[in-house]
Amino acid sequence: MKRTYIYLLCSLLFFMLPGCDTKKAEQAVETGAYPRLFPDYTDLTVPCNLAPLNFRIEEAGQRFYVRIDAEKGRPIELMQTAADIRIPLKQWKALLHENKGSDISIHICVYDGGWRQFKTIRNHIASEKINPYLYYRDIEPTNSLWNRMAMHQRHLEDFTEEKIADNYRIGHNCMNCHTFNRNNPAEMLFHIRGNHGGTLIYKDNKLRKIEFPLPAVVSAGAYCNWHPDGRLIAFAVNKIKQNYYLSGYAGKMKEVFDIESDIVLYDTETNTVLAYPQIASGERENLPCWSAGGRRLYFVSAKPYAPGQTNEEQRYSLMQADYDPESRRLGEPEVVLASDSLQGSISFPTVSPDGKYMLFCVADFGYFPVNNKSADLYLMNLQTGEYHKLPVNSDESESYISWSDNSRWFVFSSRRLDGMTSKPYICYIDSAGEVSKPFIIPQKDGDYYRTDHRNFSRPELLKERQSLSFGEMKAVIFSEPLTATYEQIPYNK
Amino acid sequence: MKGTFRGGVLVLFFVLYAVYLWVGINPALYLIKGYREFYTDLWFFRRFTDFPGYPVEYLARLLTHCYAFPFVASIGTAVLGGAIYLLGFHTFKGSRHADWIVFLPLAVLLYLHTLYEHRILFDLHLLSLFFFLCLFVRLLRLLSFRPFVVFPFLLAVLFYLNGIIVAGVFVVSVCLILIFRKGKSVCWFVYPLECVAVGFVFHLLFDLSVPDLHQEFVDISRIYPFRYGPFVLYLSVCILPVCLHGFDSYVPQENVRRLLLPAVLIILAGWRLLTFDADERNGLAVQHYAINGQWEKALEYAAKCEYPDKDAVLLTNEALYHTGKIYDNLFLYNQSMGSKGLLSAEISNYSEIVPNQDIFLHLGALSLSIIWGTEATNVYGANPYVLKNLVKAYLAGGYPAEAKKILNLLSHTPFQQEWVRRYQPLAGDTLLIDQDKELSACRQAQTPVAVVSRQSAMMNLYLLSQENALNKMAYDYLLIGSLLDNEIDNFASSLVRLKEYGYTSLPKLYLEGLIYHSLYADRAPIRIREFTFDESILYRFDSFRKDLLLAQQNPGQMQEWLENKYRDTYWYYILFRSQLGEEERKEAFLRIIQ
Repeated sequence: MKRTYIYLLCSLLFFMLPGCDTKKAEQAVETGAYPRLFPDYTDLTVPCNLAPLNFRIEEAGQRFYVRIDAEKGRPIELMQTAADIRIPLKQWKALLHENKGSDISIHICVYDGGWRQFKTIRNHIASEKINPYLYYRDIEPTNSLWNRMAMHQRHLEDFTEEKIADNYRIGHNCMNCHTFNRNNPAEMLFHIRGNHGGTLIYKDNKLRKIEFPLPAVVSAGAYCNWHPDGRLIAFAVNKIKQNYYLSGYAGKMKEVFDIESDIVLYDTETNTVLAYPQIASGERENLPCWSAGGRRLYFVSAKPYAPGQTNEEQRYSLMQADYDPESRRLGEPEVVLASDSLQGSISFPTVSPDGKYMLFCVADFGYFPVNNKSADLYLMNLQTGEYHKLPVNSDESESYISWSDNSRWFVFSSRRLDGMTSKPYICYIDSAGEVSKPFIIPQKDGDYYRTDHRNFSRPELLKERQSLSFGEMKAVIFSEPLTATYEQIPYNK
Repeated sequence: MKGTFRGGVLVLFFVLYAVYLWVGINPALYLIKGYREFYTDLWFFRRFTDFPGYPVEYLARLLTHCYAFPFVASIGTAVLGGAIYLLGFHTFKGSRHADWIVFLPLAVLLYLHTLYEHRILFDLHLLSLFFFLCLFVRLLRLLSFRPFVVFPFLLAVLFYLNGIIVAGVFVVSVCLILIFRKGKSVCWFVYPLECVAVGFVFHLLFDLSVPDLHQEFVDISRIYPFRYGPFVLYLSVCILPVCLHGFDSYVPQENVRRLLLPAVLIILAGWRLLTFDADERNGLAVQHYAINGQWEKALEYAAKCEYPDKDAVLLTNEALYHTGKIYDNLFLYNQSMGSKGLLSAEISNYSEIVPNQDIFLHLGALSLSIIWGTEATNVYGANPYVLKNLVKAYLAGGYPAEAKKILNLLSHTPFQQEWVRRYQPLAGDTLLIDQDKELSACRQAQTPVAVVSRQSAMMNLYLLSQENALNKMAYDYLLIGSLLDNEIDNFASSLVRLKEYGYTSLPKLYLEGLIYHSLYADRAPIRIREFTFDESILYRFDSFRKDLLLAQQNPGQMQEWLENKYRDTYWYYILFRSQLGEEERKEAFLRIIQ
């Protein structure tokens, strides 16, 4: 027994020893350079409720010292032999909580025969929180085949992650286009493709499955956006085609385009698809997005498909049409931003919850920016109509945007890390429309993204945890869908 | 003595079985169809802890990688088989016939080993089943308290480790053991209640329901061509108590009893040898060696394949091309698929994805190689064959970031470190790519402009060779494909570019095609005297004509003789092996003998 206590005490002392070496790190030689970190978590604006920014120090060394401090609160000190830095969650949260609106500093020293000190990294802690949950589809990069995919919900305030639905358990069917109403987990939809195909809509604590009335509409519903009132959903219906390149075309392996596409509105209360000729014309209307107040519908539109069209002719302009929810009247579509003025194609318009800004993607052609290295993010001030390219872009594809409900944060998909997989990046935007440097969502292992080769598809911020269980989903997925009725709404100018 | 004899026989059996696996089956070939994605990272491990059945699936995936070392894998599999036998024997030790009857499930398992879709997962399932059954039976015999106290824990652990079906098999086996057990009462009615309780707990923890059970059945039934193989395996475990009870009353004479086990083993061995499909083995060996760039070895096995499937044909032709033997030896191998045996245009069959990914890479169709490689990761997971070709395609195509990512992935799989070390410097310094013979060839073969792929492989070959006069492989494939499909005019029109591709001598195959073309056309597409060629081929054609006439008079006897003498020629292929219709064949015959 006595020997056991001695062993325990020795072990404790052994683990405490590294802490005693922090003094040696203070005598380090300054390198005058920033340390190389993976992921890059330098010069950021960080939400005050975010999980620790764990990282890996990419400098050669046998020992690593990290000190994180701020104006207030206890600093965090780590001394270890592993380059993977895991910041203790509680201490991190406390530090962030006490320093909202001010900066934190990260001091890094590396021992490699002698201590070297790197330039201090300063990150700013925003007072505003980010929505605490991120919902996304975990899927292998793919073009036409699919196998395993799952819908995940990640808690951004720590590292817990739930697998909500695994397609293995629903006959390997494809699940896609999960969409929420204004970050609200209580109003959601997603599609199932395959044997048990249909659209699952979760609203008023009920989950039901519907299908679109084919062939009255071009296809089953695809890209969609909820009206703020939660009753209407705007869907794009598309006939999609893909062409693959034998050799690369400016870094693209394939092109995706619609032969035909329209936008329809779906009334969740009457289970009716409403077809408006203004947005179901011969043009290719796609990617609908409601304004914050629900009185305007934004979408993209390209001229009709013709065989032999060049890629440069497959360009989408940004459109808008006024909508009156009371009378259900949709106005004449007008061009907001023509593709010609940008010499590019617009896609994924996404309006901020406060209605002030719109983010959208611009690529050299098409509306599928995720596969297009030329795709960049643009910001438009909806009050003035001014727009500009954001400085957050990279040489790789930037696409799919989700706003936080306070309009201060957005998450977007980017392939900048490895050029082949989409990862979610967080970016801060202030009330003046100035953006900060985007950063990838943190993981428990700093090295995680080195080997994770799957896409975080359609990252959506949620203000609360989505509590719909897979058991509840399964029962509905395997049920027969209810076919929506079709109603053509005549257009009176 | 009795035990020693039995032990000796068993050891001998498993040693011979290990040798059979190593030399006959070649476990490395399991990786063609049965590769399971695996990474050494902790996050990957965590993915296999959140659902029943995943833990053993994780272990199975780790062990699958050992198939890359056939000798080790053979020993390991035999040891596993031995362990299964021992556990099974000790489970039913009290029975008179336990020593040989335990071979019933082993026989099924050993049969599954002959199928190249086999997964070591089923070996582990069997091992788990017998381990837990043995544990349960021991508790039943040895412990003073009722084993139903520990039964739910045993069931829960087995359920979590192995999944729903294995848990069900365990429950059924336990019930049957209890039913046929002699001696004390065992409060058997408690067990079904405990099963329901465990099932309910798992339902709460994992949202398990009937569709999950159905899904497990469906997924298991899709693994082998013989869909019910795994279920027969599980059933064979369940019926062991029944069989033992049935045989218990049979008390053979001592000399008969001693021979029972060896007899079973001999029957088993004989059955294995008779049911083994050597052709499938040879076809997979072609793929295995070709994918690893061992072209000569691939051809060695291709020569043994009587009825190769499409994947083997694709890679045989690629091996012929890379060894330079395609012009002389093309028809020594099965070419019944015509140009479809050279290249695919669309994914019509998952097994073609990996061979085509490789072929597209060497044809300079790098985008398509990457796209097919990406699709392959969906079908096969991050198979090292696929990942390696993706690295090459990304490097040659000028995508160093992507190449680095894939190299990272490979470095986190077991046993690929050396390969990663070789290619990692290239991702960091693209000038080194031009110094790599294979990659620089792929890079040079690319088209300088974007070309959209078509739904016809021949059209794609045409486009590749049209846009790039350095893409000799595409050009050769175009010519060869035209010949294989009897598109003799296309062959002739493409032949005019021979000099562009650096030909100064006419290969045998093209000369034979040219001779055949001359039967239909007035003018030759090229001036044959501008090239050197083997004149004996011209004489051989004359000889072929004469022998054809002779054979016409005596078809039964002459057919085999003709084949032995001319099967390597294009003319023989056109008349007797190609997919020509009856009328076209007659016309070709008439033109040849004129």
